[in-house]
Amino acid sequence: MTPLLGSAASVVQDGWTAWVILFAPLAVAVIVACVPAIRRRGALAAALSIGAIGLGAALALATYFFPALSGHAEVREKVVSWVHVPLGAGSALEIGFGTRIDALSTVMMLVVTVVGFAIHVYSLGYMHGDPSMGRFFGKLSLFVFSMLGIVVSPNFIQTFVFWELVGVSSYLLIGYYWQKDSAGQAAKKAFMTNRVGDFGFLLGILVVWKASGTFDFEALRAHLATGSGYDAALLGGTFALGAALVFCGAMGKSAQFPLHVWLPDAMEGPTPVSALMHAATMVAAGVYMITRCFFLFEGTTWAPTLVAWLGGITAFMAATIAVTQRDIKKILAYSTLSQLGYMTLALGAGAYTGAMFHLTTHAFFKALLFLGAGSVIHACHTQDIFEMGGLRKVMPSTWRTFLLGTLALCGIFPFAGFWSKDEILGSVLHAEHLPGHLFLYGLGTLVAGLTSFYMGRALFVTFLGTHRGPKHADDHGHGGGHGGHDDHGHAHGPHESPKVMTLPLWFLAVFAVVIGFVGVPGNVGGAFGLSNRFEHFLHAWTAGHEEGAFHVSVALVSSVVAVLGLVLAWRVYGTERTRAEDPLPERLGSLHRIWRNLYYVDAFYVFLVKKVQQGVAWVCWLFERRVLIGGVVNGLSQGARLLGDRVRRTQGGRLSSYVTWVLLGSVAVALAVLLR
Amino acid sequence: MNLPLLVLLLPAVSTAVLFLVPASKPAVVKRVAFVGTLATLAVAVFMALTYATTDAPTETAANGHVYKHVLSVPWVPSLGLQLKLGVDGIGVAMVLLTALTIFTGVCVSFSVKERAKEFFLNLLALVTGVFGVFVSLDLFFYYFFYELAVIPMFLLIGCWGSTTKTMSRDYASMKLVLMLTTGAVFALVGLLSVYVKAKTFDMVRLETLATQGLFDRSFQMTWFPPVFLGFAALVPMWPLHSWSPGGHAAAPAAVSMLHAGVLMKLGAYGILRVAVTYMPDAAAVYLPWVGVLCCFNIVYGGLVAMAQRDMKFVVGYSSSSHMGYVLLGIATANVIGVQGAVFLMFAHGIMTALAFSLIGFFYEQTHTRMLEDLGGLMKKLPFVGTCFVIMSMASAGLPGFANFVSELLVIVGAWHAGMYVPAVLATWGIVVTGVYLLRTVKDAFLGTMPRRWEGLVDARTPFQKMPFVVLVSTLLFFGFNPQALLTLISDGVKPIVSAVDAAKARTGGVETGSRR
Repeated sequence: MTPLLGSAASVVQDGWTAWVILFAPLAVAVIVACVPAIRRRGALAAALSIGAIGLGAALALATYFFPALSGHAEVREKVVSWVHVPLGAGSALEIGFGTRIDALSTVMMLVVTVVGFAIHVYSLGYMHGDPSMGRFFGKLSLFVFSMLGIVVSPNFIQTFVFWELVGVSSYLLIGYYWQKDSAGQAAKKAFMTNRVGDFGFLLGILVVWKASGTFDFEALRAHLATGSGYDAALLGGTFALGAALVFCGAMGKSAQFPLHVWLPDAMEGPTPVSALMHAATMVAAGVYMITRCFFLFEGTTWAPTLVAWLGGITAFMAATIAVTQRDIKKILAYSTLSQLGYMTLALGAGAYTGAMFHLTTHAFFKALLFLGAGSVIHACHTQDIFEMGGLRKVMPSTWRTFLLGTLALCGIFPFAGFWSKDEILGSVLHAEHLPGHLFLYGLGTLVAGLTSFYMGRALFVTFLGTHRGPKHADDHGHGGGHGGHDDHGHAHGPHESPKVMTLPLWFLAVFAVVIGFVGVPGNVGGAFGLSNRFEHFLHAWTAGHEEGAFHVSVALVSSVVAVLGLVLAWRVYGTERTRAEDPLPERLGSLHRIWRNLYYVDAFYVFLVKKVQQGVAWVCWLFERRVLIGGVVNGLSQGARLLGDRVRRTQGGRLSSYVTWVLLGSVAVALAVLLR
Repeated sequence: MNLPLLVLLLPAVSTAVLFLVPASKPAVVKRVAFVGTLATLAVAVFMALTYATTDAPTETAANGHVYKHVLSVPWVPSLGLQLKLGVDGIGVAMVLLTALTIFTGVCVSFSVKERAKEFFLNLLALVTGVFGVFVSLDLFFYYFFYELAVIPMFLLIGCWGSTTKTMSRDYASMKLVLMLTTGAVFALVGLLSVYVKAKTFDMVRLETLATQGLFDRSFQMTWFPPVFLGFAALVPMWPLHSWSPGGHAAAPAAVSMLHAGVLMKLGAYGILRVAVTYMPDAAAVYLPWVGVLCCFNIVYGGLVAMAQRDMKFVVGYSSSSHMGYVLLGIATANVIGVQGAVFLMFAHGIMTALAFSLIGFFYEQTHTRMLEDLGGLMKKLPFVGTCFVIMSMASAGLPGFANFVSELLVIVGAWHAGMYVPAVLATWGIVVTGVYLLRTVKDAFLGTMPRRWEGLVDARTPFQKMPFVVLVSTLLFFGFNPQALLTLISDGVKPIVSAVDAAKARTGGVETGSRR
């Protein structure tokens, strides 16, 4: 190692790099927020923002590679005291703030910064010409800061703090187009749904804290590993409850049933935001968080089962809904839900590395797909795939990269999704401790088929055939316009996006193809010199778990199912007629209606919020007005006034009444004396 | 110079000076008020910064409770009356809160045109009373200053307030004063009985006597309820709260700020300083019931806020919901919870001052606060709108703001005390807060703007922006660095908690639910 490299390595080693990675985006966000001159010059804000995440990516890569070079210890923590409340008798409430760099956080940091970097660059093109681009990049940097805060967090409270901050940056970015009513509504819905999840999360943290006396992950792990924490009753009761409640947080952020409703609506935000937050990183935070405290789940009796089943249900529900969507972003959004369901299923089955592996591959190919969708939307000014078509010829880069992303998502050999999805399905199949694991495996395989179908549908309808163009383009008096309606004075018809957008697409596409090879199981990869690097690396945190093996049967079955899904999609959408008018509603009938209406979950929540909650609020308000204020408070004042009025009458100045009172009084006194 | 005396004299002298300024020169009036409150703020900040290291005269009660900056001026020695000033950490925090609120309140009141002299006169007299409560170490003056604060409030709401379709300012001001005075009378009876028993008004001496067991159990059980309820009406505890949202709504911006920001804290301060400190045995018995009532504050207050369409009523009921957390923190009677409660008194004061100043800012132009009339204001009021979003986030307990730390401490404290149901409800209350505040944000500031608001003007000059910036920065500063405030208030909290702990130990802690 050269001296220069050595000193660079030692800088990375000391652990403060994590603070730089973490706080550089915050600094940018603050600068953009406080300096109007920068905020108004969007390009400048963008440069700062891209610089911050670029620096983060570089440092994250250094963090990953240098320990490998120098062979240092993998865990580096730098924690300062944030809240310290002495309780007497030597104990204290201690909440630390700091960074924990270990295998797990390094992987996640790499995903966030590398995918984030590509998306930041892409945004420069996508947001070009937006008058409030500075605001956009400021918020994006705030998000990156919040996300990295979760990644490096060494304890539950810090995780919760950044969890909330991620929620708020999501709120701000979904509501970026705040003049649109739907955007404001979606932002609110996302924030509130997450808040419901966080309600459980915080209670879970409290339950665990009360039982173990610590917020710290490492200390909790030690506590659970020693005999004192290993109490069967606690593991079945308190810790299982704690784990389930902590999972509520993940349920909100990672949009698992029944808190999944916000994610599709979140597509109201700009597309790069959907790619970065609502596909690649933020929604994966739940999966990451559960992996971070997996030991809490592992020993408990019923928490993993709950996790696995909710994951399976989400995967299936979302995949079926995705089949019925017409909006390209919505298709991808439900697909994201479905893939997150896979990850959650893996968590429940105890395949933590499998979940993290799928998280990683998914981050790349789903970000790619979203950015591709953004490129398409940018060109067509519509999000309805049935108004697109024929983009293959005019947008070659977008088409090719989207195709690669689709193949990766469908799990076609040898693309990234193939390796990660199979690891999950294999783990579920062999998770004997999990009640109903065979059913869940079957469900997972079925979802793989559905995935191929809806992605094939999106791909064929969007890119093949001839361009159908938005119907309302004719209304603008272009006269015989064959589509390509152009607000911005572009040439007629859709066209390829600029380099600043296509380069990130290719960058991510490369990863979508090759990233799977870092996790090829040893029993097949070994022969080719691929020794499941991913799993070995993560082993530092998830120690005690068996390495996921390659199961030829599982791979074969899911590959066949995936190809069948694509073939079926081609059978349905291979003709120009079906690409113009979706035949699915007719063929599926009432099933389509249920899927199209999202299983009526959203409608049920609207009922809960609009009728039940608001009803209770009105009842309280009625009680407040009529009983408390109208009855008691004003009643008392009326009573006082009435009493005063009566007393006043006794002194009306009329002699006769005085005489009457005197006489009555005398009689009363006389009676009292006589009767004694 | 004794700092508490300075804190008291600066607004008092400013008030006196205002008497001399002719009413025809409102600019001078405003300048005097500005300088007076700025100087007070400077003293308050200085006192907070130097509190740990100051070598000012101190006095220590028998339970180890240290008061600093103690100054005693005999007044009627035969009756034991004296002007005795001094502060502990809690007092310093409250003085800082009051100074920040009145300073920003004066800044946003520069737009008052109608009878400006009288307005600022009353405002400064009011705040003199508030400061007096927080720095008094003598029960007589404590009560005197307390009443001093109420009367200008009546005039300020009655004369400068706003009347809406549902409620007139006369009604609001009258109800506020009657309920507060009734509460005060209850407290007064209790305070007098304390005096009769102890033969002194000196609060440090009283604390010593209480520690030594002067107030026996039956005395405490009799007199804790009136004292507590008297102060609780001011907090306001459910169901004694109905004066407060209406009062907020009718009052002009600066008065709402002071009212919600500071005046309600007088009640919680009185509970801690008088009721719990002098009568810990009764507190150990009654506080769990407070833990029940405060749940109504939190949940019921939140739900009622959800049904409001007038923005000031939304914030008003939200205040009574948040003060439920303060009561819950006190009810936990452990260090975590009480520290959280005091922290929240500070944080909520700043947050709610921010809320009312922002609403006041656009109400001056729109003359309506009804959500159905507003919408899309972000277009014309980007700065004020952004501040309002920040305020909502702070109020909804978002990390990064002081409110989060304090509410977290209250909930952790409740959990620690085994008050699981209130803790769960309090956690749910955070969700409810989010619901009505985000709805308010969406209805008022997002979406499309009605054309009639095209003429609205945002805060543009640095002076207009300054008060909002000051309040937001305060919330952020203590949100990021909560230990600064926690360290300050901890020495005031510990004696209170250990008094209740000792009381529980005496009775075996059966009925208090204080299982570990």
